[in-house]
Amino acid sequence: MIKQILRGLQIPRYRHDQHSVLGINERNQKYVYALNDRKAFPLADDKIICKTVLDQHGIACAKTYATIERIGDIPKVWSQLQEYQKLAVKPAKGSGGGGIMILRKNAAGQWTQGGKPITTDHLFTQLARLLMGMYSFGTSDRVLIEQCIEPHPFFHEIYPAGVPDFRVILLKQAPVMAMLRLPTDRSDGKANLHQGGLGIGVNMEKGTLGMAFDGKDFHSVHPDNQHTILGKKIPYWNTLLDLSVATAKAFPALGYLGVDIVLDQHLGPLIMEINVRPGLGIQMANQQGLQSFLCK
Amino acid sequence: MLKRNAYGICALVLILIPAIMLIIKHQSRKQDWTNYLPREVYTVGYEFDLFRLPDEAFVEAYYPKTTHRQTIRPLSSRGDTVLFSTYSLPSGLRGRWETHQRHDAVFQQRFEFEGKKLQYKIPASARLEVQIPDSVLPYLASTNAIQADHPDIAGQAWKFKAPQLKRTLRSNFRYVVRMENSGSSALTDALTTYRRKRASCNGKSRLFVALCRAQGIPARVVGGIILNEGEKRTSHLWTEIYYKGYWIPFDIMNEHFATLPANYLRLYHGDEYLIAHTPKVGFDYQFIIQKKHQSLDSQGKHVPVLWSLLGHRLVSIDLLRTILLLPLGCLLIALFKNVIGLKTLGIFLPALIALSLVGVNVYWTIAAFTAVLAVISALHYNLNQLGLLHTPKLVIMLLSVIITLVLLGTLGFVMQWEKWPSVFMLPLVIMALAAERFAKVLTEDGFESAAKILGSTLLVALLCYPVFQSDILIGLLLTYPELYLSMMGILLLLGRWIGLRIMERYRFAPLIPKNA
Repeated sequence: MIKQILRGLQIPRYRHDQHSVLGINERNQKYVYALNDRKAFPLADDKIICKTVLDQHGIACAKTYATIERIGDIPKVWSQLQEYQKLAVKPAKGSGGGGIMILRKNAAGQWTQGGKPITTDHLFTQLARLLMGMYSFGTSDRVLIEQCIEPHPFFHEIYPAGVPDFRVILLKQAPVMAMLRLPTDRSDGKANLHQGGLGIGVNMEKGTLGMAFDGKDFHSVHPDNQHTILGKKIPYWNTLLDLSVATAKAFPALGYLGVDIVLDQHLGPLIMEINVRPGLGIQMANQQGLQSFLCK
Repeated sequence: MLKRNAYGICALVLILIPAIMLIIKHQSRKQDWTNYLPREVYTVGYEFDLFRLPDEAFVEAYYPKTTHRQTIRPLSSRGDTVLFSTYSLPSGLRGRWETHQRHDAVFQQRFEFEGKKLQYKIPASARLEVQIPDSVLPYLASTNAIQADHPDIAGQAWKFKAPQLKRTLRSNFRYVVRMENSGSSALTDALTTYRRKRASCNGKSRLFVALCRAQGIPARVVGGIILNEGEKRTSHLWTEIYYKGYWIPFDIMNEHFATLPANYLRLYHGDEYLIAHTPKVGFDYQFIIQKKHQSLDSQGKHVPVLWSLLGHRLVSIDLLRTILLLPLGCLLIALFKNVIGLKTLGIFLPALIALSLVGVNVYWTIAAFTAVLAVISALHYNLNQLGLLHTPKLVIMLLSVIITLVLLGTLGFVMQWEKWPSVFMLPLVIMALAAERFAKVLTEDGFESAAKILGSTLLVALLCYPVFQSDILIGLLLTYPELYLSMMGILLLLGRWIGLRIMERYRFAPLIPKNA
């Protein structure tokens, strides 16, 4: 115990690792604060700014159809969007998936949300709420309207619902660890670990899936339907890795970041968002501490 | 590397120097820790009113002595000239006022009282003493008013008797405390109290003493005055039990176990009358009490600013408590968060909850807090469904907190729950913010996470509570403000501490080799 405390105090004699698990204190001190310029945080926290940077560098991401800044612009922007069949509407500063709406046109040409028709009035009210900061803690916000992702069939072989994504952690533009986040029945379509989703380790060299961790136990098959997970080959793995590196290079002020990547049926790997304080659960998914990679 | 070491050394110096200074100063003054307790200062006047006087008349009353917990300073007396003298009795110091004038006489004997809270910790392992010194033996006797050897009382005492002193005293104490209070202050003996199961302070004190004596614990009743600003005629009776050279106070009426509050003026012990006077003269009396201020022992005078504010009543002791102890409480919370890894609703919320617990019933307050939070979170959930904007929503929550508190307060009042806390003590704005955050966790991460975070917030608040409740810490921090430098040093180290949090050790247990 004493040794642990002394190690935590970074006293040289005790600094040598007994294990390679990275904790929050150390992550913040040695990586987030040390390598990420605070001024660059908005680049990651605001989806619209983030996509602007990605677009400038020609990095693949969901196509931006429109952005809305003022409530008065809503009708005009909406009229320009009628050519599309499917839209994803997001608050630029939202987190944890809050406020995201998926809109689809049905056979009759009506816009629907969650299978139910939605009136223009109702939609406008919703958009106005996003703009007034319902999902960004009281500060005003912008709305991003973009192309809707069609998950690659690879995912549906494992679990047929929701939008799974890959999280790659990069240190100084080098990928160090990755996991796939997959929804379960319990997680209600969401892929976040703490909402009941699965975290699946990734073998970085082979580009194959490892064991799935549900917050308690490890599984080699999906716990809901017994479909195989362990050893499954990830399509476009190398493209995906290259994309994550390109993303990190596009944000040189962020030396330690998590990049979230989806696989679209037609477009392949697309960057969804980046995170300056990536969670530590990825270590459990990979059954390996991050330090062993970070120290190299 | 050098920079990092220099940093650590600076922090260590910050921590150690004040700590060492404190120890040296404390040792050199040969201070008792209780000297750091804030003291309460009152001026007290005995006012006697004699009329229909014969040639000469006298009044006798117990006059306080200076002891280790109370200091008495005589002040000039007022009114008609009388001859004042004192003489010692085993029970206390007796004052005697004599007058030879033929007309009515009114006079006031005044003194200043400075008292500190007295608190004893009886070790749970302490046994009932078998060997009692001879000098204390009289306090085991059965008397007319304290019938320790009456079969009823002795039988009851036998049931409560345990090998451990503290357990025995607790049983006696609880038994008598639970009896009904009677308004009358007429003299009630132990047996009558036992039979009627109700009494005022004097009957309850005698019964407690009788029970203790029957169990072989030397005990006695103690007389004095509870000092509160104003004029009063009532005196008070409490008790003391003897253990290894100490007389430990117990006030049954006001439920002080092994504790004597700072504002208790102790006058005498034993079953005596406080005042006596010449028979057949007209006589009236009252005690005139003025609260002056709270003070620290003279050693504390080198921190004049805050103390003098307190002395001039510009700062209340509760405000001082907040100012002085909030940093310490928050330091503890920082440790809980960064070293143990407990998640709390905000950083200051647990500290503020802990502060609001001071002086009220802890468990009821926690219950009330949870109840309010539950109501407000339910409301928040529904407001969110309506899609309200952030600021109006927060104000609605604040309003609902107030309404809920008023309803809860009224409920407690109507139902006459004595233990029901003054729910208005709960920090209103903090409650609204807490509910907001709680509801956010509830919607984003589900009930389990929300319950966990609420639980750990309350746990941290409870663990910080002893800090805020401690009067000794206030005194210490006022006397040795350099302790804040120590705190700063600890925080500097904590700010650079990168060890795994204890909760992370559990979370990542499968990844950590057993021997690490």
